[in-house]
Amino acid sequence: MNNNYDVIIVGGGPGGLYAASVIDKGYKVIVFEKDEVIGEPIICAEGISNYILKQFFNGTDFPFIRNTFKKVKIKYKGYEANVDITDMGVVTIDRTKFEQYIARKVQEEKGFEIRTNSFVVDAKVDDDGVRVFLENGEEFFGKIIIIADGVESYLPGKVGINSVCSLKDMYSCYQKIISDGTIDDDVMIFDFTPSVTPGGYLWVFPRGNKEANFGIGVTSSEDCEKPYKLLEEYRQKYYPESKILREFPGCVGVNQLAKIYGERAMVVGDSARAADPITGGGIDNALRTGNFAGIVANLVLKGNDFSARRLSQYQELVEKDNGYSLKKQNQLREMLIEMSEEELDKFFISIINLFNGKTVSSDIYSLYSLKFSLKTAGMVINFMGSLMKDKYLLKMIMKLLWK
Amino acid sequence: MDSYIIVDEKKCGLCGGCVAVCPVKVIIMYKDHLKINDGCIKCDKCIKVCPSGALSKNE
Repeated sequence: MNNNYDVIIVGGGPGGLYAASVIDKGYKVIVFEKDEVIGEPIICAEGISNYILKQFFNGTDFPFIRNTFKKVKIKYKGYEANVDITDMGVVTIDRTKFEQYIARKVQEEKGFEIRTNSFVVDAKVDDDGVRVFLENGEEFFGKIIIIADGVESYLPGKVGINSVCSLKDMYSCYQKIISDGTIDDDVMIFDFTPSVTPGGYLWVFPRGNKEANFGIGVTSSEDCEKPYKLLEEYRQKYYPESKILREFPGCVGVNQLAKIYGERAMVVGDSARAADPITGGGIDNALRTGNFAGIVANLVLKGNDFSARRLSQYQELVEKDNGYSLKKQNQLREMLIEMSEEELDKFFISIINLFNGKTVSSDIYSLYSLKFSLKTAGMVINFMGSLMKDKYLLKMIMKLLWK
Repeated sequence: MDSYIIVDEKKCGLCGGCVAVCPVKVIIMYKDHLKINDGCIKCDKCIKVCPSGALSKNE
């Protein structure tokens, strides 16, 4: 039958497309995308590190880079740290071009099918395989399903994987693309001031040509104004002359699903809530989880065993991966949410003192000049010791800061 | 059509947050609109999460 596939992938974003690009040529693979065009619409701040991109793509000259940053400015109340990140290769990318870049690989190098305008409304897993149903009533069959249907994911529940997100684990975000003469294209800005952005941060990621992705994310359980209002207040204060080119809401779920696999099923990227709990950055972990899902798909197709037990290898690989420090990040996030304003003051002012004027390098994420700032480090350790009753969490923070 | 939650389609940017937090998964995000199926338990989480204030109670 024509509608029979080895792998059905739901979602043509970075996670789903990257998973497809990893699956061996020769298998029959189809990617379903709800929208009409791959890479549109984009709801994303588009920040990522070149260093991460190089782990997943060959070559160095990526056609989808918009802008590379030299500095990051971290703001908290009246304080700010300016950190040199020239070596880290932090960039903003053009998500539309980025997704189309991966899609081309999937179609041209692998010969897989990408079907746009195809909304998968239901999926069923049984002993014979996976059945998915499109909005128009068409039915498709697969040996396994990779679910990459994004933040608005609801297919995991259909195949027995709980994916309900608590308000605490959700960032409500709003972004405006602005054009303003005062934007410095070399500098990305994070503002953690709690009154500005409760339980989250505000970002300014320049796109080049004095344009920037300017957005805000607050923890959804916080009792505060809606993000669109908070962002507009900030814009009127700091970028009063700016022109708004486009604006849109967005949501980022964090705290990865307890189980990201099931019988014949794997969940990747934002559907698995694999975004970084602190930064909310989701592209790198979509690629990371997509990569492992693709690898495991190859293995189970070869072995012809699609049991949950066999697919659990996907979660093992994801969690063993060194770059994947989501659990630690989530512990830090939960701690930050619990902190009183006084504790937050201490935390952020110490971080700002520690980082201001420093250089952060790329490949090992180490602080070059840290050995020269033992005194500052000592201060931070002291303050944290007094702050944290929980020694385990304290250790975690230390690891995070100096890994 | 009197559902408990009403969607202001002008404000809704189809970001999917409401779908993610809905404990009974009655919200479905189509390509160009949200659909709220029967079974809503009136927990108001979708209203809370919505970044643009597009969802409200039908009162």
